[in-house]
Amino acid sequence: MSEWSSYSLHDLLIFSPDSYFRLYERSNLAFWPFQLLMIAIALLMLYLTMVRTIRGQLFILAGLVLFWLLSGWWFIGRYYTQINTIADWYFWLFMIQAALMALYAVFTYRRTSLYAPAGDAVLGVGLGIAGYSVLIHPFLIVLSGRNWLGSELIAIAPDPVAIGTIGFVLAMSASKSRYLLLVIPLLWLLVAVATYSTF
Amino acid sequence: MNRRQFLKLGSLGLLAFTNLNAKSWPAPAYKTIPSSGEKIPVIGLGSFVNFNVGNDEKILAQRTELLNDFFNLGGGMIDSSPMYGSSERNLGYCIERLKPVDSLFSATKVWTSSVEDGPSEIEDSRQLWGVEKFDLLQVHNLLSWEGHLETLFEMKRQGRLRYVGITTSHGRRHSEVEHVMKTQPIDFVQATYNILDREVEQRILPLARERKIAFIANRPFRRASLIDWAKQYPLPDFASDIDCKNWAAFLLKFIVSHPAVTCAIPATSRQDHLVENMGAMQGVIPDTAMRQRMIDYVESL
Repeated sequence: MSEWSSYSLHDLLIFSPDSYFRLYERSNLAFWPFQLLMIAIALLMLYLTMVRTIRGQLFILAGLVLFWLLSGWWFIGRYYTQINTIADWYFWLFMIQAALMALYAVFTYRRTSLYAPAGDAVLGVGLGIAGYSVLIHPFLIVLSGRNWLGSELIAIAPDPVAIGTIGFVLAMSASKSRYLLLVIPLLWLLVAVATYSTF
Repeated sequence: MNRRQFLKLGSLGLLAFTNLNAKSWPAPAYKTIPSSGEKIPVIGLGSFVNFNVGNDEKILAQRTELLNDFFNLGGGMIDSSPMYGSSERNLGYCIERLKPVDSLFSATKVWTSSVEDGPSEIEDSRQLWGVEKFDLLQVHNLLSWEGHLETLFEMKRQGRLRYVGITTSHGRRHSEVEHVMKTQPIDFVQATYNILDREVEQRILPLARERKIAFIANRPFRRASLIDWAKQYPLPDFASDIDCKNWAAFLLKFIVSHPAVTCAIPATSRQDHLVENMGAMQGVIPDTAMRQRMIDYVESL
């Protein structure tokens, strides 16, 4: 225990920032042009968030399931695992989150009477976070000096998927049970912050 | 000295130093492995992080050039570990494209808590590197060292391995390292040594000399933080007295000028940094008084 506590996060990270950012460039190039479809889906999800209907919530959940499956399988499974030996665990974390949201969608579809639209304040906060993940996050990354080919787009890049999920889930209804869907996204953001803190 | 070695020494300007005064070693680029008498270049190459780049062919083409430069500048030892992600696979990829590489001194580690899994992990590493046999296998961070050393000594006895070693880093478990050095017939010990982390000078380096064990210095730049910090300051005036034109050569020369140090293994992904590192194999070698001046200067910054 005392030996492990003498390691810093920096010591434990076995890849460089350049290698990590190159993964986004390579995964974006290989995925092109399907990013356009994913952005269109994300924009529709933003619109449906404002409409506030049970059908809209189902579509948003389906979109999020797709995004977690895609970022888990495509980015983490195919690319991140090449340089990070513990990324296999992250892959399963993303699969679990996708399954949780699919189950939540089925549960709410069968109990539509329990659906209550989110209040204006929560909707505003959630919509702001979701909008950031879709429209602002990719450009902030580029402005930080990284190659624009490595833009972190929702659906492929894990960080905007996690951020977007927090926003969409907050805004989609007033049900407290939806907070269960925030555990893994928040956990992932902790991982992301820890990773960036070592760069 | 064959033609290839002659050309290498000539390209480094080393031939010019073979007749220098007492401050220079007769052959400053090489040191002897005490257990065998074999000479190896004093500057090697670490592969932690810098070769863990996945299956990125664009980057791998650059790393292949880096390794080519390393060998052309007189480098020999390359150190890796199964712990370093895709590094072993990528070293194999690059080396395959440079073959034949006569001067490669392949060094990797066994890194598993299961002694039973050691042989299969070692075989996986050998296939990833694409070498017939490893020059050096080390027990990584003393993990299950008793059992793994038995495996490695048996491999050496069978001629499937040339040297056996152990490693630690960050100054950890030095008393256990000393115990292994005193009780086991190992050829190499690897630990952290640089101008600010000098704990090994107290017991491990003297023990290495006494027991005729070669010493590999890891973390010569504290990953990169030591050299990044040092570069904020000017080199001392006396750096030119020991033929150091940059901080990399200054910091590495300090390490490899210790009589018990056999080799330092800085890691880099940049060719300009590689050239600076390999510069530590040239020119005058600091003596004891000069080494103290180097410490005093760095500690005054």
